[in-house]
Amino acid sequence: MKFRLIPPLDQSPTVVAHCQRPLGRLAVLATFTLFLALLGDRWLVIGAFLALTAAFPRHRRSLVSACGILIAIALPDWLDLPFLDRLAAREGLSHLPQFAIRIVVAAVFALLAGLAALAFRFPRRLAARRPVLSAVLSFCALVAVVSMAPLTGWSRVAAWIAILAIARMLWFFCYTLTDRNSRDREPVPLQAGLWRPAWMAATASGTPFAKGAAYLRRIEAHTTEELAVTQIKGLKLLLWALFLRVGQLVFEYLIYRKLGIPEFEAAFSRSIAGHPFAWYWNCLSLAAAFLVSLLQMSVWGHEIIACARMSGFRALRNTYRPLESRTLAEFWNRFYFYFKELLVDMFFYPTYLRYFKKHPRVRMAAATIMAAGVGNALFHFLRDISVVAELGWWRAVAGFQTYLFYTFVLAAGISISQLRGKPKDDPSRSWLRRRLAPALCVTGFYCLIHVFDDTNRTYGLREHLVFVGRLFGL
Amino acid sequence: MDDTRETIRQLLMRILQKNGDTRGFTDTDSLVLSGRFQSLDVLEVVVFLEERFGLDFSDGFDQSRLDSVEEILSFLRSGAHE
Repeated sequence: MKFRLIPPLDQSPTVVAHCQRPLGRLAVLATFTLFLALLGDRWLVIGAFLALTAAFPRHRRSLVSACGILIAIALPDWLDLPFLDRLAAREGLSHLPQFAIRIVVAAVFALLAGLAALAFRFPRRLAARRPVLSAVLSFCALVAVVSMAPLTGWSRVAAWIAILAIARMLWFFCYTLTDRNSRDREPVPLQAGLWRPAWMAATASGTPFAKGAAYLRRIEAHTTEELAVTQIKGLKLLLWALFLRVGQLVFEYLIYRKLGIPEFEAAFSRSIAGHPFAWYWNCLSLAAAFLVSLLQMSVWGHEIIACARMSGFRALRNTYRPLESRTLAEFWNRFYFYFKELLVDMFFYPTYLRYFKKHPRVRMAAATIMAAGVGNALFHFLRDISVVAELGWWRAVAGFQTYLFYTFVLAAGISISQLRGKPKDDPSRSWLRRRLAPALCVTGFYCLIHVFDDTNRTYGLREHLVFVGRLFGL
Repeated sequence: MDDTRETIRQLLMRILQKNGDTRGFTDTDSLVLSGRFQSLDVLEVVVFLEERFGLDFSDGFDQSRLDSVEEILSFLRSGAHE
């Protein structure tokens, strides 16, 4: 029998039957909350939310929405609070009270709910037919108006709180808009609770984990057995996240403390200062940083998805064995599934299904560039929109050059990968050539462009290119 | 409709085999939501439906509605545009 670190408890009829009984459900919930407490923040809030959904499974959707809205309003640290404090100080306000932020966040929920209701009421209007384009253009227009309007003091701070809140809810909101034509779609109040889902209470990310309401409808557990299996899978995933977290800490200790490999930031700073480490130290530093980022992404995504599963949704994992990928496209799918899904749903499919229908290769390349290039860059620029308030439009865009380059290389790489297709899994070839060599090439590509995966505006493209040169001893 | 069902089954089987997935599936087994199909695989189904049935997806679609043989057939029966 194959050894598994975490036994497949979800496949055991005895365990599944036990987890359907009140005592079993309580044990699963208690264990889950304990793991959550060991792993990160907000365990108490998320634990309370999960307890509610476990106690009242028939009201799951209402509870998910109500808790999502309440947590987002009560704990608004998913906004860039340090930026808001700096802005308030600049505007001459002695301090920024939390209740003011809460009021504005609540108003933003109401505003977006109104817009969603309009889109549902008039699904054939131009703005509703092109929901993503309309939402993004409207948001950019709002930022432009607020940047240029003669606002001062509280009004300026309130406007920026609203902008930050919309920025972090934008893509969740787009999923609601794309659900406008569904026959079985939920009413707006239920959709609104998914603009900051409760399972994302511990993160500020704007990536819609478990996508939108349409997807959730299809992955919701409807029977007590389905619910038990889903919750056990959630528990297993959270335990796996714990193991990975421990693995990450041990890895970092060994690599940085014991072997003395420089951290990436240190290697990069030395390169900028003109006193670079030897090329092999730079390479090791980059490889270590890349592997740590894989582990961090896995732990972070597993924690969120485990919570979604625990609340009764059979969501797929966000990260699934990325190092086994044999193509660039496959890696992207395995590394950050929900971000890739967002870009596919909002950029790839709309482009693919509308343009270049008679030119299949151009069609595929254009759709990929729109998703991995344009969509990816747009997502990150809008996510960090507060930079516009601090640096102004020109410096915010110009300073984004490094990440733009990253998205360009990524899009080009994935386009070529998709046009070439998957390498054949020819059993007559050795495992090294069939599996290992392609996986190493793919990992090497992503490791190298990891240098440019930098949305800070501190250093420009030139400094990053110089660092790549240092990797090759230049 | 039986011919269509069989054609769709063959298409889905071919896509799975191309991905190295040799497990069988019934007409109601989930392929998209279970993670057996990726976005590009769904795209192959879309292109097939476009070419074979002249469907127009340019107003957008929900990929989970093409989750299984049965769902694809139901999608075709419903006129695909609700």
